[in-house]
Amino acid sequence: MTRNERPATDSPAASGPAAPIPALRFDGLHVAYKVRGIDRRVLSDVSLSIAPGEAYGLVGESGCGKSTAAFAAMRYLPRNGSITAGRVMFEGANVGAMSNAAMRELRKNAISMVYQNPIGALNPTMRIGAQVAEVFRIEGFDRAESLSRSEQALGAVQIADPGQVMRRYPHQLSGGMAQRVVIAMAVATNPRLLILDEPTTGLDATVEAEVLDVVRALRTTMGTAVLFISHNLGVIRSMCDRVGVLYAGHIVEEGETGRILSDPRHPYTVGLLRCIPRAGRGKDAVRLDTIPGTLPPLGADATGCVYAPRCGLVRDRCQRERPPIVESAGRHLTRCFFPEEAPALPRTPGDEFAANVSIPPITDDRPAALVTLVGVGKTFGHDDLAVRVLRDINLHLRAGETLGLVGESGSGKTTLAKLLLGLVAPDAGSRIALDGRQLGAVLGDRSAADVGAVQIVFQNPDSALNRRHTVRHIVSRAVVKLGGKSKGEAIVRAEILLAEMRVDARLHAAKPAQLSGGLKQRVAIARAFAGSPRLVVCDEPTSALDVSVQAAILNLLVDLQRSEHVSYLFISHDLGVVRYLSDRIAVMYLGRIMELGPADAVFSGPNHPYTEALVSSLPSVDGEPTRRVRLVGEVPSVTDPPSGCVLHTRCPRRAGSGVESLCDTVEPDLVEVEPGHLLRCHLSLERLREMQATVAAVSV
Amino acid sequence: MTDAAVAGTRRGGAELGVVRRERWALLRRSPAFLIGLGLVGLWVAGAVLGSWAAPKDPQALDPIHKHQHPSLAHWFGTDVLGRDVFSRVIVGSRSILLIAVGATVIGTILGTMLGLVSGYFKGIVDEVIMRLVDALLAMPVIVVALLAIAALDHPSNVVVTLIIGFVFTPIIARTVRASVLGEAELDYVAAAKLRTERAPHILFVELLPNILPPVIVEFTVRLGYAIFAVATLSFLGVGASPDSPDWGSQVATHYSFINQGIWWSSLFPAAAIATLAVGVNLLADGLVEAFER
Repeated sequence: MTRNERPATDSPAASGPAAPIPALRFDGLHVAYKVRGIDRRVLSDVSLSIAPGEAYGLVGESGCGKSTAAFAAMRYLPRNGSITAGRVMFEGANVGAMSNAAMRELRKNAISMVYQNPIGALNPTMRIGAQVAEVFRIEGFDRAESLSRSEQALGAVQIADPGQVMRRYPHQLSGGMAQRVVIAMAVATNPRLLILDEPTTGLDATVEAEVLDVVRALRTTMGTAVLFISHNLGVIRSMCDRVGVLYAGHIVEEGETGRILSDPRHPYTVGLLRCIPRAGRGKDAVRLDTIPGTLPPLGADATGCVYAPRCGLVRDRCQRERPPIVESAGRHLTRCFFPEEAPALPRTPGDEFAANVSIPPITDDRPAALVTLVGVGKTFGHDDLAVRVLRDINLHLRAGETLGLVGESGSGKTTLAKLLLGLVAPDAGSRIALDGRQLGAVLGDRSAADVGAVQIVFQNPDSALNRRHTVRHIVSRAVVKLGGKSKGEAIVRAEILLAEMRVDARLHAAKPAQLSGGLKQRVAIARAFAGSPRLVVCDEPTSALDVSVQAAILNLLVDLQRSEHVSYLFISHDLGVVRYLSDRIAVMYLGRIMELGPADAVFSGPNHPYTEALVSSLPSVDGEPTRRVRLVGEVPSVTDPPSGCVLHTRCPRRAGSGVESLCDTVEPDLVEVEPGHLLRCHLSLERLREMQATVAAVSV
Repeated sequence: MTDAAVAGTRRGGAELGVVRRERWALLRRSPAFLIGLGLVGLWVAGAVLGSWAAPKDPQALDPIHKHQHPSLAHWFGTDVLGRDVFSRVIVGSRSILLIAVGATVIGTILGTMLGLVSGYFKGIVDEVIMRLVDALLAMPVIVVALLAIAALDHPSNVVVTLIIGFVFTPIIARTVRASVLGEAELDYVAAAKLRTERAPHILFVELLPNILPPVIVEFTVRLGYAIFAVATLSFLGVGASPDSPDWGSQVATHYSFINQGIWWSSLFPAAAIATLAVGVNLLADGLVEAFER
């Protein structure tokens, strides 16, 4: 237990005497943004060092300063941002002291950056080929040479038909394809440092897995040092050698990725890891931890430890002094006075109102279906231009049950939700029933009671709440219209609802813009529950939120389900969240249900090859060996779905299955392979079990 | 851009109050806005105070002292009938401001309604309204206004106001429609439908408050054009009666004397039109900068 105190400016990685010059080094970096004439500090005393060829991850929640660190490294801070102290060193040279010409050289061929939104990073008026070739033109190659090199570069990022992609414009590419193009441009010049700022956020899990594979492969072939910024600890674990945890502009913990994530020594890291839903622990088994409180406001300068106000282990000393970043137990660096106590951080299983509500016993005599969908389809357009985005969906949802709905974007999840809600009319012949009564096709055909019975929590609370209305008005108006109450009664009811959602009474008169993301989502949930709903569609309700906030919202949803006995249709691309919350899961692909069954059966397999690929693309924080089954290629267009089984063009199990010709020509039916578990596949359950067992064994 | 998935919900994000305060701070620091405010304020003061602020009676004839050069007694000189040009310019601000503001208000209200309906209902409603708008936009404003006024016998200021208002309606409708199209896609509109709200509530309670900033900007921009339209019409001899101290008709009455070196009686009213129009446009520029960032 020797605690080795070092000056904070000392670079932690360059410890050995023969350590090579780091590719990137921050020496006690302070960065401030000038807002309304006042310098607000966003990075405080950040020291890190990335060795050549090393991948360094920077994690933290939004507003922690991750992107600022990236911009500082490129000397590309916004106009109101400046380095107030410390240095950024690239291969031993002070980036701040370089001339503009030298900086330009550096950006041209030594440092590259990839941003989150790839479509925004490409020029919409230029063909891909011309854009990629530009990189080589700047390098000094002639036109023909540039184009042929571009083709190679696109091939190197696993683009199947580079020549064809080069003739397209950015808007004709999918997000994953565009990001690969951006990465190809970034690595075209063999940079010595590659900065990736949330490169896969917003992409489907399957696409994310492919993009990460590309980055990994490039790293092994080129030996590029990588600064990888992400809020996703699973992605960081799968990509980085070392990781730094950023909180409010301070690095609070740093070290080898596996160690930090399996044995964290800072209460923030400990709390962050506990917020994440883990495999095998569903909503009935465990409540998610949350991190109480919120990030300090930009530029706030506390005397003590920055994390003290939210720390469950806070002591007097933490309030008075700022802890230095020190080596904890000779293993990694922690900015905490009491690192050995961190694992004993008290659990914070939420502060929700219904924590003590008893769990209704789950009995085998299952309650009758609340919602039934029979032969539901949706076709947009007519005749020759008809696009069938949903076909023959048969589903039921029991009262108090959560049905998870997963699938890549474009699979029809949101359209299905809109049909249920009555926002879009289904095709003729579709039957959507509530309690056995057929629901009107669109909202106008439904009674107020039926409208109130099926509600939604939207993905983006910024768009879901009218920014000109107060919180109280938003909720009470819903009570008036759906609960049939007078305005006075509705306000009383709204205040009760908001209190149940833990929205402070002070905020009832506030407008949405004054609330944090989590609070906005609580208001949206209060509105959805205003009319005592029977079914609430949750359309990615936490994907815009940080994990600690996500945990609190998920806990709230679980509590509400128990107290109100409401059913959820939970749509998410985050399989971890779906697994935590769902009793049953439906997996959709190109408008069809490919698999439907109990959450455990769907996740642990044997499962549909498509589900298998989805599950194996999920990067795990725990670093368990994930099965490596990849979907190849792009999602086919719904306007022209493949013949036979719609998955056959990408199926990881088709090759060598012996039924290839059947897969290519005949669409399989959705059949019950074991009680309550339905698959749409030509391969038998036994056959899938065999195939999946061998791969799982190989990867261990 | 980097945390786009979470940017919208970032803590301490753009608070509405802060946004408002920042807009004011921006406006206060914007030279365009301040100069515009000064110029427009000057003319508004003239219009409000009217003959009370004018040093002389703007209608007092004094044919003996006609065509006097600008002097201490007559700052802007006297006109063809010996009336004090300075006083007439001050008093003349009232009619142009009233008509221009009135017309712009009418155009903005009608245009906003049409734009809201068109952008929200889409489909056939949108088609019909927008094709009408296109047809109206294809005709030159002044020609349309002149034709309409010519069709009426004695166009009063009210009629001129209404006609300019109608002529501006399609332009504003189109701007509003564009804003509504984007706004109506937002989930809060679906949420309103999901609590059985009717269309008027969604249009005026949910959507309208959210599209006000572009409407305000458009109003100011249109006001600048309205000033020119009013001045042009009165120069062409419609609307205001010939002896009223209207800027346009003052220019019309006196521009033929410029050849004889008598420039003041037409130049000062013309400069008044210019300063008011420039002032309003500067205000508009300042607002655009503050609102559309």
